[in-house]
Amino acid sequence: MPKKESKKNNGVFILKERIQETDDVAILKFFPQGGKNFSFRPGQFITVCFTDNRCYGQGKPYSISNCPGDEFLAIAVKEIGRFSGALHNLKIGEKVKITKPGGYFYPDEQMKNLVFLAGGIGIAPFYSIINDCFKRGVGGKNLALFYSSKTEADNVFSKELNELAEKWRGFKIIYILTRQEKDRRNGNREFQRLNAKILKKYLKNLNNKHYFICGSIEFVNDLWKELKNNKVKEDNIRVESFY
Amino acid sequence: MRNIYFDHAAATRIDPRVLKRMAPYLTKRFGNPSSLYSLGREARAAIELSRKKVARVLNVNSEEIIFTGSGTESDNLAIFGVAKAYSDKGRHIIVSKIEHKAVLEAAKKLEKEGFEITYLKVDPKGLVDLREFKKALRPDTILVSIMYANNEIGVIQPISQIAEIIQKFRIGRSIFHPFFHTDACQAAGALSLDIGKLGVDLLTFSGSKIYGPKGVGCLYKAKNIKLEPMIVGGDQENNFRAGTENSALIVGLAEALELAEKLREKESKRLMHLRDYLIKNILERVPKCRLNGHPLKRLPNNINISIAGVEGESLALMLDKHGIFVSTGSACASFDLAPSHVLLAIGLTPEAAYGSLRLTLGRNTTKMEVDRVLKILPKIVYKLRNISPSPFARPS
Amino acid sequence: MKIKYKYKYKEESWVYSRIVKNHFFHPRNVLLDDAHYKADGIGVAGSPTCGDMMIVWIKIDKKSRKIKECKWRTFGCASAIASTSMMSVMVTEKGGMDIKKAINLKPQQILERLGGLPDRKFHCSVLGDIALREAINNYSKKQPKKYAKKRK
Repeated sequence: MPKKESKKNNGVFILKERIQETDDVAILKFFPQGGKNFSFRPGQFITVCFTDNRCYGQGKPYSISNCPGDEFLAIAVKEIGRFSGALHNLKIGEKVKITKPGGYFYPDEQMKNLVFLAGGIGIAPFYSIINDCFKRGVGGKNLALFYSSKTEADNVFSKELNELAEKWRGFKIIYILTRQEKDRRNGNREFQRLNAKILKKYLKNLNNKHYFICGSIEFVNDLWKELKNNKVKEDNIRVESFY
Repeated sequence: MRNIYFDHAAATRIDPRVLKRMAPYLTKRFGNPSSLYSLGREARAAIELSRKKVARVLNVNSEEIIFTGSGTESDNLAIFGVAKAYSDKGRHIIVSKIEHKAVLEAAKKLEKEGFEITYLKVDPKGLVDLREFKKALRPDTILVSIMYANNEIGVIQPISQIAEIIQKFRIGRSIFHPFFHTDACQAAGALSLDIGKLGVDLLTFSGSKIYGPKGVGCLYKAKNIKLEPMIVGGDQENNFRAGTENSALIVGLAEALELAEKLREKESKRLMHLRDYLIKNILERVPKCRLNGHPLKRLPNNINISIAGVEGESLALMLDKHGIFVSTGSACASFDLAPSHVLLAIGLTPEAAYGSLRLTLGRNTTKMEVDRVLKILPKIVYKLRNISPSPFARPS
Repeated sequence: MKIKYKYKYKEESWVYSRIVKNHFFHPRNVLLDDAHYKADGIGVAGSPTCGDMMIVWIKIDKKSRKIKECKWRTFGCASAIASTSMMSVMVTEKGGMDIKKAINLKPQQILERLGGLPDRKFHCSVLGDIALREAINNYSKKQPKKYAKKRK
């Protein structure tokens, strides 16, 4: 039965669930007050605004981390400043204003070879895209996820992602740990900053692939330059910077 | 074409008379004021004379003057100093919502350490509500800090009335607290600093806004008030603020204050006249523009306006191209991207805060300069409004 | 006391790059008369509450699907004004950008042409990017289904 979808530009949502993923990252699940959720493409973002004067009425964009079809919108919030701190302090039952999802950060149907570069909390939109892909049938797609974080303790969604990687042969995850001591355990792990050399090691060939980069301004800029310097076409790259 | 400097609330040029007084202490009279020999004693004498000068202007005793490194440091010393020294008597502090960040951030820090802070609301003109203030006073209140004149909108608070309320409260309960601190960094040189008339227990001011040097401030502290020092080491400033005294800066501060006090009455009148002329003409020549803050209870040199449809940083940069220097309450111009907390506290919408401009006149401001700004500002507003989406409605 | 200045200070650089300065003082493609402009697509991003707001109007060549004209109005700081101006130049230069390419225009590309912006001004370019995309989506929605199927 097709779920009714909201046609408005923004709506009031209520925080009903909160999951603490790591020390500073929490997943917040917002349910629409009116019962109608927004429709969205996995990878898109919403703008969240407080209903009172907190943060001067400004809103900040957050990537949706759950799948279309769910009755709620989930965002992964890393506590780094005033706004995210206020989100972390939200109590269950409190309301926020959320705008219609937007953005162009999603793979088109015909893209077969995907490379996702996630920096820290930049994993959020990819989690939605990967889960959705798996739900609807992977259809011969190949996906390489390079997930960069400081240490394994900072990883979010890794348990679920690892489970998916076991079920989907075309999906591989390479963990980039920039502040962790090198060890000899198995698994695709690298212990320095993500660069073209590492990409080539796992992808063999950088051509004929579609790249999606999501993370901090610095992370996205660095990899954007790396890819361009290695002759990847600008049209084959989509980016989303968190700021 | 000479630059037109209309940002005296941010910084002022050192008066040549002040610089002349300071100079020897930067060159031949370099001694450490704590040294035994004549070179040191000479510096010591200069500092103590400066202390006397400041005390004279404030109408207090020399021993009640502490020299610090800035207005912010003086504010911090007053707030942290009293809080830590009197935490056994109470842990409640009252400040206004429009205090300078030096006071607000100190209060927020104390809040994290378990103190309770009441942030007094202000009315749309910026004045503290005295009834609300009376209600906020408690037996465990140890400090009240309300700034004499606000740096952004220039509003002048009824300091003596507030002092009277506090005094009645203290007598009524037979206690000696709360202490009353006021940040007078902007008021100095424009309003009377006579402590007897103001009735405060602590007062802050600094050199940078009174045509004196930057990097030096002063805290007046009534004799019997205990204060936990923030900077410890030597016993300078009566053990309230360690560190080798900067004789040149202190001499400069005292000289600047004395000079400012001498010129105060005449200068205030002159500036008020220019200010009102500027306000009247801006409101006439620039449509959809409003004055922020109280029109009368206002610093003689302060103009703060919100201009609909344009953003402050763009305004300021366009004015800069014409050699006119002003400041803005817009978030885009601040490091943390937050709009002015003062403008939001007086009830401005964020948009009005973004479109705000602050002009503060000074000793060298002439009517010719004011006329030039009046000529250029409307043109710039017109230009920016031409590229601004108006009236902020979605196109159908 | 006479103080001799030994060093002559160079004219201090502007708060942003020279290109940003240029686009701020001489913005290109501003729409002066929005009442009579017949746009093929209109997009809005931001709001006055947030301190930046842009409206973008585009005209598309129906045959080539390239952006013929891109006009705009912006409420915001110098970075916001320069970003929208530069964005409008990028999508209309050299005969105009194909809308398929334009919809994938990235803030990084706008920043590169501007000569960079401080990190805290990054969102100004993002907003220009969003407004353009909204305008393109707005145009696509109005087209017969054949062209509109992939757009949101």
